[in-house]
Amino acid sequence: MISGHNKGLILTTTTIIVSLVAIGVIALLTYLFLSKYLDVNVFVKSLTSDRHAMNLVNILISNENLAYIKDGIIQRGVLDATKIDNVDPRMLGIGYPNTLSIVEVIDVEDCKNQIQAATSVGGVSNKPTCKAWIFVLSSPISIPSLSITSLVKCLGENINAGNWEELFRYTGGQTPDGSIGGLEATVWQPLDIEKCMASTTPLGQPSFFSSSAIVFRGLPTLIRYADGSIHIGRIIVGVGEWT
Amino acid sequence: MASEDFLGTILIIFLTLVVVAAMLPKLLDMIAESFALTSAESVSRQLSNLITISGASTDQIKINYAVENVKYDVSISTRVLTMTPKYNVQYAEAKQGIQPFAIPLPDSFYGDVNSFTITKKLVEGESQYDFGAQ
Repeated sequence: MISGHNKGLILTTTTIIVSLVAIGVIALLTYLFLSKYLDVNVFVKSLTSDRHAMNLVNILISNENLAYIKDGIIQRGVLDATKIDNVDPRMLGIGYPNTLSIVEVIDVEDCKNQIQAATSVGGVSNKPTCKAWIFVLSSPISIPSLSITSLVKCLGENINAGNWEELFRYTGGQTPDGSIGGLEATVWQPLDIEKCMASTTPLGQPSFFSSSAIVFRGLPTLIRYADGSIHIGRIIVGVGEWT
Repeated sequence: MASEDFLGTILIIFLTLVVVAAMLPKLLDMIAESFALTSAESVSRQLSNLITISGASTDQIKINYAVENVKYDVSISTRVLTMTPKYNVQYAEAKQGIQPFAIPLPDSFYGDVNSFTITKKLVEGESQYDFGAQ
C-alpha cells in the first residue's frame, strides 16, 4: 500500500535511476559509435600523402617519357638516362593538383663508386658526389595566389646548399634553363620548407607544409645509359600538398 | 504495486542493455561496412586512385568499377573528382567526396551513374586516358 507521504519519494527515485540508466546507454552508444567512426577516419587521413607519393612513383617508372623502350614495349622500372636528361615535366602530364611533387632519380651504383674512390684517396678533400636528376612535376593549381614556382624559387634562394638554382629544372610555367645532371643527391636532406611557406601560401590556406612535412617515397630502379650500360638506381618522389 | 513496477522497469532496462550490448557491435559493423562501400568519400577515393594508377600500365588497360544500390553525380574538373551520392532515403546526408588524381583527363560531368570505366592506351607512343560512366 502506498501512502501519500512516500509516494512522491518512490517516483523520484525511479525517475533518477531510469535517467541514470538512460544516460549510461547514451554514453555507451556514443562511445561505441565514435570509436568505430574515428578508427576509420584517422586511418584514411594519415595515409593521403604516402598514397599519392607511391602512386606517382609507380606511374613515373612506367611513363613513356622516362622509361626505356625496347622493341616498342615500355620496360617498367628501367629508366632511360637520355630521356631523363631531356625531360620536360609538362610533357609528362603527371601530378596531383595543388601539390609540390619533387622527383629525384639517383644512380646508386655511381654513388658507391664515388664514395669508394673518395675513401681510397683520403676522403676529406674529395667530397663524393652522386649522379642524380631532380625535377618538379607540373600540375594544375586551383588555389588563388598559390604559386609552386614561387615556392621552388624561394627554396632555391634560401637554402645555401650549392646548385639549387639548377636543382629545380622546370616548374609550372617556367622554361628550361640548363642541365641538372651530376648534382649532389644529399642536398635534399633536410629541407627547410617553412621558410618559404609564409610568402607562398595564401593566408588561411591549410597545408601539410605547416609541419614541414614532405613525404618521400621511392622504389628501386635501373638506369640505362646511351652506351647500353645499366646501373642500379632509385627513384624518389616527395609530395607536399595544400588542402 | 509500485515496487513491482519499479523492479519491472529495472528488469526491462537491464534486458534491453544486454540485447543492445550484444547486437550493437554487429549493427555498427554493418553500418561501417555500408559507409565504406557506398559513401561518396570512400568511392571517390577508390575511383581517383584507380584513375591515377592506370598510368602505371605500360601498354593499355581498362578498369571497370561499379557500386551497387547508390548512384552519384560525378564531376571531373582540374584533376579533381567530385562525387555527390543520390541516396533514396531522405534522412541520409548526401556528403560529397572530393579527391584529386594525377593524370590528365578532360573536364566532364555525369549524372546518376554508378558504373565507371577507366581506359589507358598508347597512341603513337603517347599515353591517352579516357573516363566513362553510366
